[in-house]
Amino acid sequence: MMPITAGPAFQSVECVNNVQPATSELVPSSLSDSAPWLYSALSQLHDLERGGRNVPGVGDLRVSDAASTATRTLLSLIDEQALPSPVLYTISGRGIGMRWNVGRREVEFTTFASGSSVMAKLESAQLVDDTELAGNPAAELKSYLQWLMGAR
Amino acid sequence: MPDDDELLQGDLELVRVLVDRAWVTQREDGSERPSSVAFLDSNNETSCFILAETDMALVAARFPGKKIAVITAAAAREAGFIIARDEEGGDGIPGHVLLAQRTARPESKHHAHLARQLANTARIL
Repeated sequence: MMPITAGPAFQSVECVNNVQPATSELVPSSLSDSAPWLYSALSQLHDLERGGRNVPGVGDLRVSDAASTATRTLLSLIDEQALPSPVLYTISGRGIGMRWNVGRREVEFTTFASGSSVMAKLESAQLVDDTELAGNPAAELKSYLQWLMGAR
Repeated sequence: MPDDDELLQGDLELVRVLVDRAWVTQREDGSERPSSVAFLDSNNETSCFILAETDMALVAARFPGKKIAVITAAAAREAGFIIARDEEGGDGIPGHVLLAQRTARPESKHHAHLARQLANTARIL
């Protein structure tokens, strides 16, 4: 199955008189309405995948396939619809970071180039808990995100 | 693994270019600090420049508008990093070094803890 993708090409679809490019078939039409945070996350991930480069003096800011796949897998395991949009960013050495902020709380995912991930809870910038994700992390993900949303 | 230059010690200042806005976050008092991810690298080779040896005009020209984190060699060593000279890695900008984590297993949560510890000591230019 092809991965869900989103990006500038997709964003332009809605205003082109019902012409449906092939890429639209990859994106559930209701995604931007039902889970806007997921649409935002996938759009940012798409941009990271396309835009990275090796920067001497800073590091390799391209995204590895393993990090990209691991991030998509994490996103697919989240069944909460009412989340704020996360911020996605590159981590030098071809990794990907993803962070949600709600008030003083944040949940941060660090995915390294190999695809291994660390998830952390922070409150007022202080570490509350963290874990290395392995196997099926759905329950841990849910627990961390419920803690995040409890700040509201 | 790069070789540690044990002469790089104490209050010697190192700078890290924060090329991504998400590499900057805020303290409780509203002041800015680098995020822990600024000091993580999947290859365990975080690029920095020695402030006293580099040319900040060249850094600014290469990375216009980007914020700079400043840490000390002592703080890096307390967080488990060695500091290795790597002149070629600066691509023409002198004073380039690599920080490599030696205390924690790379890609572990301990590695992330130590990057956070180092980030918490930094100031931003």
